[in-house]
Amino acid sequence: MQADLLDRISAINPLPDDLPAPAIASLAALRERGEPPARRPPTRARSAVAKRAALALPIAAAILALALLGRGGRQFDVAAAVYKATLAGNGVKYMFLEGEAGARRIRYQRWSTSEPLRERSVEVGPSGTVELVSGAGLESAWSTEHPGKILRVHGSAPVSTWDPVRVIQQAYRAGRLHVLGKTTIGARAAYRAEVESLHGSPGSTVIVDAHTFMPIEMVYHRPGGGPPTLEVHVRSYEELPATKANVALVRLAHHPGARVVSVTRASGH
Amino acid sequence: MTPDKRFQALYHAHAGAVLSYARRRSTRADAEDVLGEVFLVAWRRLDEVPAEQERVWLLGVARRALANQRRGSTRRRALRSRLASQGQAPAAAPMPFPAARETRLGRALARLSESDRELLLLIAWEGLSNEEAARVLEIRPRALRVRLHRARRRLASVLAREGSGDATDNPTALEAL
Repeated sequence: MQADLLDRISAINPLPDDLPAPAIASLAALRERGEPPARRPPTRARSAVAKRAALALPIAAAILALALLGRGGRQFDVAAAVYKATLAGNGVKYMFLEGEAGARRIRYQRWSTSEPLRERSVEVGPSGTVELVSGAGLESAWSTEHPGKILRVHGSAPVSTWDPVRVIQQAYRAGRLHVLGKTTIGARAAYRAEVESLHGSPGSTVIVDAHTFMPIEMVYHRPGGGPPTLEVHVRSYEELPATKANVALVRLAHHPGARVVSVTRASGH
Repeated sequence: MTPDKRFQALYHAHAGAVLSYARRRSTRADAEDVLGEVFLVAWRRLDEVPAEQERVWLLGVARRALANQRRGSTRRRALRSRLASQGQAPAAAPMPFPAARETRLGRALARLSESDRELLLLIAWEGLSNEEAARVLEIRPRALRVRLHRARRRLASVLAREGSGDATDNPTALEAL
């Protein structure tokens, strides 16, 4: 029974096969430092250079390779098309979601860039509006509950949260995305797919646009049936060009009269 | 072998495994960051990387790098609370591993302590032997066997509780929004 438990954990491995090694772009930056590595004491400057170089690793190529070499052979072609259509680009990623869980409703927008790593989200829910920005070692927050205050926390990294596209990608990679057939949402042609949960019951139903293969709607079901636990409507999910105006969208909005309260890493944690 | 060549060989042999290890436990952006951190450490301490245990050594570094990131993530989750009061941050939520937590077993794993969970995942996801997992966790093999037995028992217990109709069996993606 215990061996079976480890097998079951192994079965939910989100990446059953290792990702391919990205190109070694960072090595050039390290090598240019000249001296043998073991003799050089670590310095702040070298760390920064190497970190920047490492962040430039072409991970996108590795992800694309996964898409091409993945488990598409056992899937209907639409599933592979959905997966490929949802690969991230290099502009400003924008998503606008509306979530319903019973009587609770949330409108959520997020803008994010990967170079530099930065994101801003605006959530409108029952308790008002919350705006969060993170990136460049700084996090800022503002809310309508406390409109006179902008909280800044120094020394933190951006953290992405739930993403409908990521859910689809992960299901496809795990062989758990099953296309059920065509449907329409309003006048919009779409495909209906099921993200199968591992213990047999339907996990969620996903509706994707028949032309762009981007998600339109996700409905999470209760394992035993009954009304869905959560509906997420994807109003927009797109890659905006990296223009000055769009890049500005990942910065905190102007909040006249709000005073900035800074929290250092030591006191903020 | 020159340091450059050794480093290149190390990178080509294990970068995929390190990236995957981090990606299984964090977001894509964080995993890329961890990959950079790990190989920066490897470059600095190249002569300390054991030839027969390269992957295990690198995963140990990756584990520590992820732990550092996790502290940053906790700050992020606490941000809203701090807006309301500049007092203490709330208790840390368990680190998500986004794909697996869609499942009942994944949610049960998320309820374990970080050390229990990591032990099980090193064996089940990274395919390490007990001895290798002990090296990554910097504990003795005998201690690992004891901890492994306890971690399995605790996981089975959480699963049994969830199987009795616990409401938390439902997806909680809205909370993650």
